[in-house]
Amino acid sequence: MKNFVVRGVIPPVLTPFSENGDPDLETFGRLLEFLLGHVHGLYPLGTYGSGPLMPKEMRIKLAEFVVKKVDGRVPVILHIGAADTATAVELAKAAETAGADAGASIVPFYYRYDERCLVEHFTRIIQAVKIPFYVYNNPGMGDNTITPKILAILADRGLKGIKDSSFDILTFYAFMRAVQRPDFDFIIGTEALLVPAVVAGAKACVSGVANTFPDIMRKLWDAAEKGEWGKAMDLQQKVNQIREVMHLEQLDHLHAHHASPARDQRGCPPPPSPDGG
Amino acid sequence: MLRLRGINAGVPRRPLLMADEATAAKIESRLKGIGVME
Repeated sequence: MKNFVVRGVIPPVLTPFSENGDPDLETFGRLLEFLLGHVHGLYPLGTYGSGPLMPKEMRIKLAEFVVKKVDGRVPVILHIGAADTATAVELAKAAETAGADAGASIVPFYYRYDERCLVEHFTRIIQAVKIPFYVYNNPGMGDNTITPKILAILADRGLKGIKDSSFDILTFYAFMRAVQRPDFDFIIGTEALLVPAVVAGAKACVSGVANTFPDIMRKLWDAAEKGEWGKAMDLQQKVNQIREVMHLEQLDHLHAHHASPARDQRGCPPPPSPDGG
Repeated sequence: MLRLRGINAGVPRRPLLMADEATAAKIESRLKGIGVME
């Protein structure tokens, strides 16, 4: 996709699996078509998409499937995060080869790393590909977190933006102060904070709720983008109600992979390689 | 066992992840209660 621009509602697409543990491509295709009627972009193979739980070959196969299915209708930001640098770099290259418009990566997980290691980890990924690349901050998914200082360093090394799922609007605002470049993209990583993020200049929202209610999320985005704050807040509250209902059964933690024995096919993780150089 | 309900059925329903039929019914009832599902 030429002139890649990130904007609007971007669901972290669920990955459906069949009973035998393989991705259910027919269902996946239907889900993609359902979403494409409403949303501005797609974020496959992230937390909702179970990417980090899949064998590498499965992730590459699904990346190719999604890009082919979407066929340029909306930008595809492919999540390639892994616990080790070498795998993340390999998956980033595969995402680029598959035709993804951009890549994104969670912080390396399981082990704790200092600032120097995190900067090195992401620098190697960024420099391995030519497509725009985003860092995915989600402290709830591990002990490592992106700081405003790390973000500023990575921005100078070619990082395109951040998807922040800290669930802390003050952290999001601190990131915005750390990198004040018009071409740097700030993406709020939860629909729960869409309005306060858009007020501050967020360019997009990666929304789990958009997997199920992309139409309502689209209305919320459109109202916020137009500055219709009363309407936007009414929809924000409705969206947050949806979140509360879904969370009653802990559905925020129950993703499509739970229907699948694929989660048992991970094997042992490779040793960490973000060694700080 | 969770199912991607709706999309699996091949009809233009919203895809919802449900642990079982009882949970599915409970969640759908609550979503209807807040006016976001028919």
